[in-house]
Amino acid sequence: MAEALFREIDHTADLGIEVEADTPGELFCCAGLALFSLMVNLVGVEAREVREETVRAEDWEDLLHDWLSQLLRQFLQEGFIATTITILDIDATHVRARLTGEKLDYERHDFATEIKAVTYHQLSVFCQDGRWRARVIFDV
Amino acid sequence: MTNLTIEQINDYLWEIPKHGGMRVPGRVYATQALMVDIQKDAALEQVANVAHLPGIVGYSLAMPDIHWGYGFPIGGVAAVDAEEGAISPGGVGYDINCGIRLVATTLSSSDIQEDLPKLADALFAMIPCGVGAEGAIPKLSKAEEKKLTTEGVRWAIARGFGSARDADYTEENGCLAGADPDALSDEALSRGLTQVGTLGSGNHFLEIDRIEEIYQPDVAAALGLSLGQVAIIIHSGSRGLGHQTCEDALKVMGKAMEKYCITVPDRQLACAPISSPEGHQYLAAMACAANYAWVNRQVMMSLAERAFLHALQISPRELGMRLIYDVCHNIAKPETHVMNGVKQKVWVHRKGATRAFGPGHPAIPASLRPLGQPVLIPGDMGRYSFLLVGTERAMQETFGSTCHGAGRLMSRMQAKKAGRGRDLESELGKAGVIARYRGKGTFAEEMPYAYKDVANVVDVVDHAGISKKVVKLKPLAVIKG
Repeated sequence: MAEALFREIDHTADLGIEVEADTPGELFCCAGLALFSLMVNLVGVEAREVREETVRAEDWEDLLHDWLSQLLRQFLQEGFIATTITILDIDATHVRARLTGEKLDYERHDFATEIKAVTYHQLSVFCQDGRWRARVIFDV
Repeated sequence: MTNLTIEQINDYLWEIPKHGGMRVPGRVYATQALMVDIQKDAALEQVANVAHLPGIVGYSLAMPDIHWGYGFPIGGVAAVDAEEGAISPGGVGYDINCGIRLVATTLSSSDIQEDLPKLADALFAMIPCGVGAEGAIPKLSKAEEKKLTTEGVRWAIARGFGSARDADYTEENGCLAGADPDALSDEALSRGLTQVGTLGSGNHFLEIDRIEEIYQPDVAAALGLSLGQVAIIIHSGSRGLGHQTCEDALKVMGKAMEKYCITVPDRQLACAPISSPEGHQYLAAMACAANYAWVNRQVMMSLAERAFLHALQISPRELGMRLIYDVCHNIAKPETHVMNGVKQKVWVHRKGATRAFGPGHPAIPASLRPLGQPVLIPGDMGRYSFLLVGTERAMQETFGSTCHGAGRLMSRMQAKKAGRGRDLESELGKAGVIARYRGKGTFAEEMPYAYKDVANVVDVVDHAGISKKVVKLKPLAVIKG
């Protein structure tokens, strides 16, 4: 089994990620951690708080968009950063997950960039040759 | 790299001929040198994509600070017929009414030179910035928030933030008509509750500047600006409430397009007829977010005044703080423009572009009307920003629009790499700028070397005649999230 991994799309004005994994659960977990790691260096973020999240949508693309938007809102409103994500349940119309992490502390954490939103621009989620792939562009 | 055909019209203007599903041609203001950079990514394809919008009139326009966005290019202007056209939330952007305000003082830079570090500390302590920061009005109720989104800047003035004249010197008098808080989602209202009077992060800033150069002495004098004078620039928007409003509308319109038989080349361009229920709802919510942003900048201006008074131990009279003008650069507006000699009602999307109405326009406050509308173009935090005025030529060519900023030169990753091992704060210090910031990463991404020289962008709009330079401002201290 190949591991889940992500690549940062390095563009002048925006930020994005390409993610690949063996299962949708790994894909969503990896994309979520990628989102947080673009904003904050996850080294030094501790598991001080546990949260559970459920997101529903109509298809895989919308689900990934809404899932990442939900995680982003938690960061922007409360400063919450997840350092581990466990996908409890997932199909094309819903994802339920447990997040552990803590709130941003400018003294202890290395804050990189504030992402403002998850866009629909070039958004894709698909499975090819048994490997799940996604592409997401963020508004920064 | 783009494969599009582009034709040069003159030294500062290029045209993308109509092809495929484009309803109008594209037009881009740029020099040959800027065009080389612009062609490196998909920004010109995005200008062509915008030309697919139902009801678009004239040209799909792009300003010289154009760069690759999502859906619309940043620096894009598109006017659509007010009855037949479609409104696109992506053509306004997530940060609805992100904008700039310029505030003059009666101080001279020599008056505050020694106190600058103290002033920077006071501003940094007074103005909430960075992720999760809460506002100057911590106990806002939802009912009060709804009132704020309907009344705009008057709401803040009535609560002691600034003076009555400030509304006159704010685009739309700080209140976009048609706001209906019932069009906002609960989520949008929740996100807005604690963020009134917060700067945010990323490229947003509050800056103390000195007027360094004057290009049109008579206009500068009429605006009450002189060399060496201290001014303040605030760049921020509608925070989480605006972001959520855009996101909510993209969802609704993404689904509604099929019903209205609209197809667009990019999902982020999702739109709905202006006259449709979806169009009405978005415009009512967008106006709320625009009004929230004006309140946000108004409150921060007032907080900045308090910080100055506290740090310098002077009276409001001695400080003489006076709003010069406040512009938005992410917005859609109902306007009347003359097309082929005939007056036409349109909605103008400005996505990373600034309104630049020419002299005599009734939307400009009476005292400034003969000069043209003030236009504020911020540069990076180390070099300079510009004040310009709108022109009659902008009315004829660009629906009264011009550029909005410098545009990035380096990606965020490149900028951070370039900053490794360097003492960025002391580098800025050598350039005469004191910085106070929350996130080291953001600070590195926002260094001057990561941006294009805004002077090159401003020179294009000046030479093309769609706005004219009045003064250049040099930053002395900058506050960032």
